[in-house]
Amino acid sequence: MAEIHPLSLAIFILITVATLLISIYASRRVRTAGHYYVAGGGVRWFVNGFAIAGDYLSAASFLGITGLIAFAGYDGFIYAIGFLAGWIVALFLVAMPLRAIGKFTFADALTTKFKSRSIRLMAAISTLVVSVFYLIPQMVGSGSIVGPLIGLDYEVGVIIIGGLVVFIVATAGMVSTTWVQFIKGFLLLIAVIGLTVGVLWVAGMGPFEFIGKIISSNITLPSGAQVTGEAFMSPGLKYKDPLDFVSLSMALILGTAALPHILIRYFTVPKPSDARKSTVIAIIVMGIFYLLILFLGLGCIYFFNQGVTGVINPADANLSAPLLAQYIGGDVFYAIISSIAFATILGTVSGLIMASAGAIAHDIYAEVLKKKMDEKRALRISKLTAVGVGIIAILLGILSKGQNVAFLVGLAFAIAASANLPALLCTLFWKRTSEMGLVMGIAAGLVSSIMLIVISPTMMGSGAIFSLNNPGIISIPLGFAVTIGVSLMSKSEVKEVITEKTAT
Amino acid sequence: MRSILLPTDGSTPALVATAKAVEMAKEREATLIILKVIETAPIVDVERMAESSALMRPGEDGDGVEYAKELADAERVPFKVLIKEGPVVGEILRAVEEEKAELIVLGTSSLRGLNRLYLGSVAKAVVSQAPTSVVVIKPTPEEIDKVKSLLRRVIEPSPEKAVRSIIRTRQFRIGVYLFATYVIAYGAFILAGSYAKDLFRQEMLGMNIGTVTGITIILVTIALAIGFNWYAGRSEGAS
Repeated sequence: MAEIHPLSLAIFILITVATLLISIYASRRVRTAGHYYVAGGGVRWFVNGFAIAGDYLSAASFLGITGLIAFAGYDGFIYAIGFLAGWIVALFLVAMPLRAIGKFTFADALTTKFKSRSIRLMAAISTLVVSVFYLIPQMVGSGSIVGPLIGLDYEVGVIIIGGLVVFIVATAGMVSTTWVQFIKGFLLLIAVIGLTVGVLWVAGMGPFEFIGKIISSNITLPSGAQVTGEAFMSPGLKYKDPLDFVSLSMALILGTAALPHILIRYFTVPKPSDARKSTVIAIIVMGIFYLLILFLGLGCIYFFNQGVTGVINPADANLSAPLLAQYIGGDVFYAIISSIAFATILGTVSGLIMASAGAIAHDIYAEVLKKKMDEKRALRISKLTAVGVGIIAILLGILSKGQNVAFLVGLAFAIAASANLPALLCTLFWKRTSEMGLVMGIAAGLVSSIMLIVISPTMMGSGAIFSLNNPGIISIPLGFAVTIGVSLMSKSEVKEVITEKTAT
Repeated sequence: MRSILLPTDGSTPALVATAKAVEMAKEREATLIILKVIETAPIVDVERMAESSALMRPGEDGDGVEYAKELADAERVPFKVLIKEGPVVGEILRAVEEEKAELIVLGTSSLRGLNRLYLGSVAKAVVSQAPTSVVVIKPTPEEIDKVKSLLRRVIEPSPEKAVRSIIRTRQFRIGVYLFATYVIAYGAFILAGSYAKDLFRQEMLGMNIGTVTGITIILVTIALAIGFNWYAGRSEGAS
């Protein structure tokens, strides 16, 4: 049992109670499946923009990247840039047209053209795989930081976070999820701004002077190794294999706009132009976030080299941000940042469970299996599914204790980019896309990326058959090639569908 | 070339007449001339409201022309749209002459009481003055229901059409170009960071090229998002 931090615990309880109250209040407005899955489509773009940022900026972003920059310098920063760059796909290609075709889920968007059960089933499976890969690291993260931050055991942390999320999504679905993500996005922005100002103020330097200072000095890494500041602030400290890095970058930029839990946020605003506006708000929030996180990571390593040992835990890079807060602003600041880290996990996990519950209850149960039900029953089944998915998430979190699962986030991006993006872009922009093309394309992207992960060094160690950790560079082009190739080979039935519709 | 003239104001009788006119044009292999007349005579708001409710107009958006175009398109009837300004009856009669239409199809409502006295004289005037045959449609309640359900489909475009109309806009195309440019620049950044690491170490602005470029990419991304939104919002406002 770890030592209890009373102040952190108090703020944590405060956040918990606030979340519960929001959910209970919001639940009164949720009466139909439309309210449940997309908050009735009436979320304002400004709120949705912050909620998108709150959905996307997971614990991996806040705690993970701060630690990565502190431990690996420039390679961590380039990771942050990749996370942001993916939004350009959402802004320019996906946001507006997606809003025009989507209803509740990613599979809904793909089945507007062909009312196909096989496409829906494949899209639902792909949604579940991507969301579960994304979910496991979040659950493990919640368990492993709860000890040092608040003083609770791993299992207790996982159960509390999981239980809270189940409550959020089971009471009011997307309505409460939206508010939790909105508040979290806002808190996270304040946290990085506060920490950055703190770092520069304590260091007594301007931002550029600070970076210049690090480049010109010698750095002792948390591991004890010595490098020049020049080497620390240029690529290659973490990613030794350039091809692996290119592969990861491809997955990040092409995977973002294909993550199902991100895509469903676009269905919550009234109009396509609102989808674009909320993307812009999200990009501004996340751009500031990923720019400032550089100073958080560098702050840790800078103070560490000034002789402050408490600012980095060499055994756990993920604790860098809270420890930095403790050094700058004492226990109060530490407690605040720790609690925000929790809110971070809550917001992202809620989004993931919404996406998964939609895939099971709406896509597979209601549409693929064609279960007839009224609005009330549909709503109850959606809520029950969300509870079920939440319980599975808790179990997965407990089972994965002690495993290094951070790499799964990068893989979730790769699977999304390989399986979902080709299908989404072809549905939106390519008239000759065929039903078979979409089904085979999703299958090919899904299977190839998972197979390549299984035979990668991450899973097989040094004897790996495939030499890259991230499958993106092979599986993404393959996903596109199969979608396009099969579409060209199979005869398109689009024309018939259109005439049939207009004639009746 | 044979042609049928369809004057429409978007009122329910006009919409029923539209369906009839499309049917007749198909039978006769004629071109459908869709005519909308914008009245120049000043009309006060109260009058317009009274007229709208009396004529069962579906609202400001239902101008009838879109509806006629959609219907003609679906039946593969060739059509032509005329938008004229002036007195309604005069413009209808002039269009018949100019287009050498063989038939006029228009709708009229069975108005009663004061409204009958006040409105509803267009059809009467056209019938008495037109050089051609005139088909005047008085819709039955069943026809009105049918037309209303069709109207809903036309006013709320199918998702595919909505996507196409977004993709076809100028701002979307510009977005695609910006996207391509961005991806090329980002790709160059990643490749240079992976295969030309020495370049990233060169000093620049008291930092190094790698760091300056990285910060620039983030700032450019934000600027691009704001700029594109401003541009797209302006085009939306203009259209």
